[in-house]
Amino acid sequence: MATEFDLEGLCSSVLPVHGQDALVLSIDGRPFRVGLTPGRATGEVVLEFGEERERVFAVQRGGIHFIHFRGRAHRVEAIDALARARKRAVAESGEESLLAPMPGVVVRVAVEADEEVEAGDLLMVIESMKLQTSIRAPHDGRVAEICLGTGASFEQGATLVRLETRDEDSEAEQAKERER
Amino acid sequence: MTKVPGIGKVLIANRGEIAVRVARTLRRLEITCAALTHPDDTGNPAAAFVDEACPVEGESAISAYLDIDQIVSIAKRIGADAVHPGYGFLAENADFAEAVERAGIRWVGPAPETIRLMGDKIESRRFAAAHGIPVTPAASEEDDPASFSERAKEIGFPLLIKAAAGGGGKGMQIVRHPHELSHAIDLARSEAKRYFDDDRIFAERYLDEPRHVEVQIMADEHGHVVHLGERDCSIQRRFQKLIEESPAPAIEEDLRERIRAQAVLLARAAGYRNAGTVEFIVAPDGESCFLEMNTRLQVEHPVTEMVTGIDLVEEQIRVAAGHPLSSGQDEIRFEGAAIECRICAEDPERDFQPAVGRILLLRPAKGPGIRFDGGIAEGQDVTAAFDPMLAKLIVHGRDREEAIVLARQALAQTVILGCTTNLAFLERVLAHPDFISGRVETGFIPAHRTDLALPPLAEEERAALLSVAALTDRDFMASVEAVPEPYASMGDWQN
Repeated sequence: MATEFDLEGLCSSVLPVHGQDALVLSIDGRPFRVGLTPGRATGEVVLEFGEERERVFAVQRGGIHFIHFRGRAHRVEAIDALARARKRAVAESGEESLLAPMPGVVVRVAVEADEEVEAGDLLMVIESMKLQTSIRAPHDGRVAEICLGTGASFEQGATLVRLETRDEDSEAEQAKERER
Repeated sequence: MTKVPGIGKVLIANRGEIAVRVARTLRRLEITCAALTHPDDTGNPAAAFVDEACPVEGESAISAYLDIDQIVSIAKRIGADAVHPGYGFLAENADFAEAVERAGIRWVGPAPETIRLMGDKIESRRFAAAHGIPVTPAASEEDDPASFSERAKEIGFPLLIKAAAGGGGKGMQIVRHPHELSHAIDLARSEAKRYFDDDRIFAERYLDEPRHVEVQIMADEHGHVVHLGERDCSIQRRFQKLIEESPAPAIEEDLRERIRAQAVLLARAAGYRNAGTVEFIVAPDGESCFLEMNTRLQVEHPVTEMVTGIDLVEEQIRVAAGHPLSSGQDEIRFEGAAIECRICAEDPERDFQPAVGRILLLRPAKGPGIRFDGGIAEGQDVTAAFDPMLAKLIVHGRDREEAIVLARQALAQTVILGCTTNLAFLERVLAHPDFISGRVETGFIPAHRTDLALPPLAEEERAALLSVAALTDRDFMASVEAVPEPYASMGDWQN
């Protein structure tokens, strides 16, 4: 079974294959002979990669690998199959929650619930670390719910606004919902 | 008895990186140091570093650190001889300085009336102009609100709309075309009201491709005023400095001498006391204009310390105690070149948006000529509550070329994992041919956007990174142990 990892927005599959005297990984179908030994410092590891040996710093938290490699920090995310399924479910329900990209405070709410909006319309202005960010509608739709009012503070990932895709199917469903 | 007679204990009315930096000097001077803490401010390394951590009460850490009455009563209670405000928070608040002095405690900074004069960007421009220092053409709204936009148009485009009480790029708008003017005025006014609770604004001529050059001055109560050279702070994003250096590269010697002399003249005219910075805007033709004066220690003060060998915080404490400056102008020597890089929790690939996360691993670069002024510790959460600056990396080389090489190496050696930072971006700026040749201006980053973009990973690098991730991933390694027999006995993988 292969595992998927995301690096700079691109997904790669990594499949372990035992070699005779070393571990071989098949990365996107290409074989690489690899090995890893602990380094001297905390977080330090020595990567054996083909003929090369390199000192690397690697730590992880919640399925995200933070790696300092050749003078630069990188982020590799182990993709959890369950999380992917959840994302797909949201996409299929026709309702989208706009999540806070970082913790902060609501500065201004620019729309009202039930309001029809077009892609690019300003929904909310939030502030984090003294910087203001505009939350805009990613597509045409209807504001289903404004989850936070002006002055409210929130954590990263909190739902700011729920937006409903404007299409006939969902409108028909809503009508049914109301009847019930 | 401490090394500064008259000062036995100092309250640092601040947190984080600057509180640690001030405390370091106080400790060397054998002065007891205290700093502020708040229960919400868990990621404050100053709390553990200082001799006395003084809790301030308040709904949020920020409102607590701005609570003048409470901080003054803490200073009295702990028996502080002086209050050092650091930078940010109350550092340029004249009411705070006044309250500290009224409590019989020494204020490490200029007199409250000087803070008030220089804090008002309209008044300070008038003051500079009255003393013969060129300023950019400007128009103030409050002179005659009805004709403000007409008077702004007369200055010519492009122009800047700024907050009278401004600073830090807040409430500032560039206007390139007349039709953008009224919108920019509204925006600047509302931001000015929001950030400074003062909606007075003014318009100022915007010089294209300007350089930001500032002069560090130091003055005592005995009439001595010296300059400690200049700093170029042209590498900015969102009107906020990112890389600073001293001396300013590639400028004519007469310009260097002129602004140094003007800075000393202005400080003398204002009856200035303690550390201050006079900021100038320098046009491509070498014309210079007074911009503003900052009445506090600056974030970028370490580059001056490195080229002069003078500890500015020590000088500040000595001056606050009423002692004369330790060196006269003739004794101040400038050696080599120093560069400071501000390491920020932000994503340069996403328009420098602030990033959050937990610092999982921190290994600052070390070595001769390298200084790391940090406000972070491993395990600390980087939150949205404070400024995104995590630390400053400062290097000192025999010349600018050596300083650039050293800074690039130090940036690459610095490991910060768990939160996105601008470390690699800073390195790319330093490596840019225009930076190396000293062709810097405040629009450098947007102008070189393409050159400074994140280079794509080579295929081998990508595979190496994925290997590290896989080999340190518990789930993945568990699956390696469970590789079914057919694969295990296949030997080397054949494509």
